Amino acid sequence: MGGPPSTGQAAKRDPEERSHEEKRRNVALEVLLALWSFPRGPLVEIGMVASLAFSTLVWALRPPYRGRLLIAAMEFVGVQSIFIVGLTGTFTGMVFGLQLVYSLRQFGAENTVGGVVALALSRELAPVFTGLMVTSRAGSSMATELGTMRVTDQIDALATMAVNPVQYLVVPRVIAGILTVPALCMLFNVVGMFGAYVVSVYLLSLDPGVFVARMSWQADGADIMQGLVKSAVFGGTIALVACRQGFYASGGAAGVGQATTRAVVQSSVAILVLNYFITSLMTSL
Amino acid sequence: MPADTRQAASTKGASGQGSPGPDVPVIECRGLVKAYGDSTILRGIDLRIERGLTHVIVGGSGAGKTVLLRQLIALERPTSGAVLVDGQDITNLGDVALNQLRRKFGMVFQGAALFDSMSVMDNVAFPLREHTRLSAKEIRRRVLEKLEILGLTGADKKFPAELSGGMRKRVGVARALMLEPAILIYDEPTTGLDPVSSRNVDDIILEMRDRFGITSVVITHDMATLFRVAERASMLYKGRIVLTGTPSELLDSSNDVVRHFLRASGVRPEALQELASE
Repeated sequence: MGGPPSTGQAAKRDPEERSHEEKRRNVALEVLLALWSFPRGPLVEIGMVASLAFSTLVWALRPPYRGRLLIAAMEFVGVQSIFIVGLTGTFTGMVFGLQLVYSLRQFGAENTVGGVVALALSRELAPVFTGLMVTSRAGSSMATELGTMRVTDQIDALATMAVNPVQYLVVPRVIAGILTVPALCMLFNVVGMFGAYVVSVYLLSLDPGVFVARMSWQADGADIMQGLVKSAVFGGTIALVACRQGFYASGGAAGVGQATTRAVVQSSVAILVLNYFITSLMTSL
Repeated sequence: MPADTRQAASTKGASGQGSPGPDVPVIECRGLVKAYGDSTILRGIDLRIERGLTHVIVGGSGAGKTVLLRQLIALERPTSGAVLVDGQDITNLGDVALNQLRRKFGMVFQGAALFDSMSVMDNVAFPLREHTRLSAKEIRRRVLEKLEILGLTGADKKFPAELSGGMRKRVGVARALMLEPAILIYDEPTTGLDPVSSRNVDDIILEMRDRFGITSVVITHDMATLFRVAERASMLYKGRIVLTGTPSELLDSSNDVVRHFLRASGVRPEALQELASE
């Protein structure tokens, strides 16, 4: 009684303790794995897009240079987006002008509307909205097209015919994105300002001279340049994300649909996140 | 272009190591292993594809046929082992060297893999436009010539969606032939075709060999195709080659896997023998 346990009891307890120890370890491992699974997915995606960006850069520098494909991609991304970007820009400028005139009139500051609209459009609204519109129109289409080509072996067919698929399919689209989205952003700026001017001056009786003077006084070339730099980055990102999703799609029609959805969601999120970091970087310069 | 000229030009252009000897197999796999994560598909493939012959690789679904094919043409890199083309190890070639190497190959995909945004003319002309400086007129002439050989006269303006399965396969063959490759690889060429169309595709495979002296590798699970076109055949089962030999040797084999596959194919041995002797 009260003495040390017999050898038999110790032998019986040891496996039990080991079993508890193992269970505790397994639970800890599962918790760690579950925690890791949250950043793992986005990190893998970012890694794959970065890898594709590197391949794109390498293959963009190697001949042959396919001017026709680039022009076709610019027509698709840029020219075919003019209407939707123009429409979005006009109504964004109109509603922004409307809200600002009503809000600032309460403080007698409605004369600053032209300047505020110009600043907001050129720095933030034009690049972000243009990026989002190009994502929904051209990015989704790119992902679907490349995804369909992947699941029907057309991308492999390119490779077997000694044509590098990244050079043939991705390079023209990414360059087209970088070149045409800034042009669309400028279009957004122009029609957005026009929309705000029409609402402020013709509907809400703001002085046109003051509107234009404030606009040119508060917003300068640096503001417009900031928007253009952003939109070039967005254009490249949209094309890269869409191409990455399409290029590695699998699982037939359903897989292509999922790839398209992921392309739109990831591009949109990337635009908003990148917008903050580029703004932060450029305002600190 | 005569077959021997084509072979020499192709070899020189692709490997840059001069012509291989006649005893060197066109393609050789040594201990080829391919795994995706925990799943091992190819478990040590040793295979020799001899020059000028039609070699059929047969096996059931999930045996690893398509995965093996993707290693042969370097669409994927093996987990271990090596693939040699004309004696050159292609396992670790860079992108540019791989592009050079692939000009030796023509590939006919299971679903033809035609570019659906292009007409038949543009599909077939694609390799010439990419890799040669021929005039548009000469390219057109060559495309029409190939289409005529393959019984596709008048189809040049059509789009892939307007073609039947058999026609798409033939357009795929025409496109694969445009750079006059030394090796033609067919992935399940008769899958999804009716018996008559299957027979036509088999005839095309034979004609490519007889007319252009091309080495053909045919991946299939169709025993009729095997016995019609093969000069050598390999049976792939669960990632391993269980038998390589002539079609007759395959038919006479006592290997359980081969016998089971032959029985399950539903074709009588006498009928297969007839096909082999044709």
